Formats: sequence, structure tokens, C-alpha cells
Amino acid sequence: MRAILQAEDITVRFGGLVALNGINLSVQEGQIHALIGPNGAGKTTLINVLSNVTTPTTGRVTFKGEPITGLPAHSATEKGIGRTFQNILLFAGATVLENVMIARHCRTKYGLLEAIVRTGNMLNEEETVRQKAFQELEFVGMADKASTIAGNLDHGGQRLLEIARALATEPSLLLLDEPSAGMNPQEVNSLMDLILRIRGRGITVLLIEHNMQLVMGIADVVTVLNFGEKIAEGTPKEIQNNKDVREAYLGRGIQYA
Amino acid sequence: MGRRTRCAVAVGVVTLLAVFPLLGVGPYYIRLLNLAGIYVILTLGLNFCVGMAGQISYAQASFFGIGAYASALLTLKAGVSFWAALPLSALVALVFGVLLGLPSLKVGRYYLAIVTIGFSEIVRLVLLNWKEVTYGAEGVKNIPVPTIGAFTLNTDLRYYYLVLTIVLFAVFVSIRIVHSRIGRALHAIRMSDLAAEVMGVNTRYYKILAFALSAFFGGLAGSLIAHYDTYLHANSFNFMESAKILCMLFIGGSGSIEGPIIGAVGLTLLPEWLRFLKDYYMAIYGVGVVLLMSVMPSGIRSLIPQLARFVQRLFTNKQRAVRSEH
Repeated sequence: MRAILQAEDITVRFGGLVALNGINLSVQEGQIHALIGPNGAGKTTLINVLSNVTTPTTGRVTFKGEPITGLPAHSATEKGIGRTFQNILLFAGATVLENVMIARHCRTKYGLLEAIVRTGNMLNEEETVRQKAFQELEFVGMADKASTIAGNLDHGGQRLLEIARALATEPSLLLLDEPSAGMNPQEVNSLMDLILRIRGRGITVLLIEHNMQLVMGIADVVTVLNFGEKIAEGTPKEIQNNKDVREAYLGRGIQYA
Repeated sequence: MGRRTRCAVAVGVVTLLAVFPLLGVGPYYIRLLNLAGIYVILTLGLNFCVGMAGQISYAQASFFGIGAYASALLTLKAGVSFWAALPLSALVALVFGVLLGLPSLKVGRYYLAIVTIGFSEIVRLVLLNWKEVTYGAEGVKNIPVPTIGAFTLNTDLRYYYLVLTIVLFAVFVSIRIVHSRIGRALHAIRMSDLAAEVMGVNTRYYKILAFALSAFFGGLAGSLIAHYDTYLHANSFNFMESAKILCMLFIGGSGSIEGPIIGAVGLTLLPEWLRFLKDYYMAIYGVGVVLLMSVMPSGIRSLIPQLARFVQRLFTNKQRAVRSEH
């Protein structure tokens, strides 16, 4: 097995606050890797660093053996890192299909003049954009909602659309930030199935989750963060039995004399 | 609408626009139409920046002025023909558009508005005071009228066809850009800067491109006004002029193609139709703008679908009536 993404000694400081402190993380190709931890542990900050939305104070990230730290976020997307957002960031005024079509941007090449002249190449690329966008909507089961305004979707639908949109950028690594937040149990079940199907396409998945049923059900590896530091890493079973993890979530037991 | 229908509608509209001034319209109205056309180009230009990419700009009149001065000075001082000066002045404006685009990478909405106001004042003051080049406060006089061989575009009617050609070019380019990955990228930036970037859009490049396109259209309009009026003064390209173009954009409906056209033509013709109000004109005009914006925040354009439905209903009712007669 080969590491698709390697983060070394990542530290992020916001003023005096240390959000991440010397984190090392290695994501293996083809795995479903979960990132868990109490609120404020620095999970989203880490995802922001890995997708180049935040530049780390120190440390470096290597993706497919290539350093990506300091590149703009759109280059990370172009290199194959797709992501969703915890606090849903859809293009709310656009239709579901348009949302996914926008995400095809970095997989199309034609320029301004070609758009104005409408060359054969441009028309071909546009046709592909449409087809691929529809394919991704079908993949997440939303093809029937293609012309709905994204802002009018229910919460679960918006989360699925975020995933479809990220998939449309053709990632080899997909970062999901709390994909199940606000979903009902049936929706979580079909989400688990969806994540497995995404892995089935050869896409590595790194996800932040609070839903332990989901994490324990489908993750190959679990990394636990607390107060900006990595406190444990292992298979779901190992993590369940880890003393430090229990303390991080539940607190230390009171010692009676 | 199918491709055929759209083509037919386009040919129909162009023919109508080409024939209209020949139907005994007076030169005064043709002059108004020419001005309306020039404002359509300006507003469609501003639409790239404000309507599509969501970057507020109070500098469209500056690009209008830069294009006008560039074209006038190129023809007067460098002896360039109008036909070369027209694209060249648009390119000069484009360079300034790129320059103004740079701060948009750093500062957000309201602050950006202030930056663009500052830019427009600087441009006006430079045009007004750089006597050696711009003739300063005297303004630029005797700007040559365009000629095609021995044919001079020296009447309002002749100039109308030049303006119409550039308007059609501006509309065509706008439509093509809206329906492309470039248009989608600009819209994405307006809706969410961060989401656009993470979806792979180089937001820095596209913000600057939006300013460049706005400026390019502004420059084209500037060249047209310079050789139409044959006289220029720096104070015409002030903050109020930019505000007027923004008004046209928002009243028509920003972000679309039809909106800027409706706004520019409407706000050019309306003041003339309201002339009978004399002293009360500005007050009534102002109240009108406020009311319109509160009732129709997305512009007059939002009436189009309603109008279309109304016409459709009329049509189907008529069919039903005809059927029931049988």
C-alpha cells in the first residue's frame, strides 16, 4: 500500500491559539480514513490545510509524492483533492445541475476566444461537462432534481449535492467534512453505501465524522485529534478500546480515595 | 426555444433595429438612440464585474473616459485612423482594468467600492490636469469623425449604424461568455468565492478578467462617444456617471444580458420623456428609482417571465374561444 497524502509536522496558529500542533498524518491509497475528535479538536482546520484553503504556520503536505503546501486551493483541486464543507457551501441560487457543472471547471481547458467563437473543441468540452455532471448526479441519486434550485433542496439533499459537486472535479482523494451532519438514520445508511461506492471507484476518502455508527461501520483507519494534537490512530476496534480516546470524549474518571 | 427559433428572433430584432431609424424618426431621437446604444455597451461591460462576478465597481465611467481620451489622442496626435483607434483604445482601457482588478484580490465588497471611487477620482484628475497630453481643463476639441473611404459618418443616422454594430458585437460577446465555463466561473465567484476556488476556479484570474472585460467594453464605448461628440471634457467621466451606469445595471437587472440592455435604454430615454415635469423631474425620477428597486429588487427584467406567461395565456384563451365557437 502507498500513501497518497502525507502531512508532516503540521502546525497552525491563529494569533495565540494553536489549532494544530505538529500533526503527522498519512492517508493510504484506496482506504476510507476517518478523522474524529471532540469539538474544537482541529479537524476542520486540518482538512483546510490538506485542501490548501489554509496555509499551515509550519509543516508540509505531500500529495502523490509532490509538495502542495502554499499552492492556491484551485491547484490542489486540479491535482485531485476534492472536498465538501461542514457548513454547506453550495451555489445556492444556481440549479443543482449548474452546481455540478461549475465543478467541471478545472477539467475543461478552452479559453475566452474559443468561447466567443464557439469552436468545435469548445462545444465538445461543453457536451462532456453536461454528461459528466449528469453522471455524478445519477451516482448520488439526484438526477431527477437536476433543475431544482440548490438552495431549495432539503438538508440531506444539499449534503449529497456537495458530494456530487466534489466528485465532478475528478478527485483521487476526497475530503468529506461531516457528511452525515443533520441526516436521519436512513439517510446515514445510504450515505455509508455511497461512501463505499466512492471508494469502489478507486477514490481514497478522508472524512470527519461524529456519527460513530458510520465511522465504525466503514472506516479502515481512524485518527483521533484532541486540542490540536493526534492522540491515537488505528483500526476502529483499536480506537474503541483506547483509554486516551475515552478520556478525550468522556473525561477522566474521578479517583475516589 | 430551439436553435432555429432563436436565430429567427435574432435576425428579426436586428432587421427591426436596422430599419427603425429609416421610418421617419427625427435626428433628435436618433441621437438619443445612439447615446442609449453607447450606454448599453457600458452597462453590459459593467455587468461582467458587478452582475456576474459580484465585484462592486464605481469606475465604469473612468474606463469610458480612458477609452474616449485614448481614442481622441491617438487620432489627433498620432494620426491613427478611427478604425484602429477603436480597438486600441479598448485595449488601453483593458490595461487599466487589470490594474484596478488587482486590489479586488485583497479587499472585499464595501472596501472595494471605496477603492474604485478613489481610482475614478484619480483618473479624472489626471485627465483634467495633465495639460501636455490631455489639453487639461480646455478639453479635447476637433476630434475627427470616422470615415469609410470618401464616406463620412457625420450625421446621427450614419453614426447610428456604427453604434448598432458595436452594440451587437457587445451583446454577442456577452451571450457567448455567459454560456461558457468562463461565465459559470464568474457566477460561481459571485455566489461563493471560497466554494468557487475549491471547485477548481482560479478566482484571482477570473476577478481580474472580469475587470478587464468591463474596462474593454468601457473603452469601446469611450471611443464611440469621442468621435460622435468630437469634444471631450474630463469632468464628464466623474463618479456620478459611474453611479448612473450602476443604476442602469440594477434597474434593468444585473447578471443577465437583457437586464443591462433594458436598464441602459430605459434610463437614457426616460429622462427625455419626463422633460415636461421640469423642476420636479429629478425628484420624481429619484422616487421612481427607489420604488422600483424596492418592488423589483432583481430589476425590470423580472417582469419578462410574467409578461411571457400573460401573452401565452392570452393566446391559449383565444384558441379556446375559437374552439368553443365551433
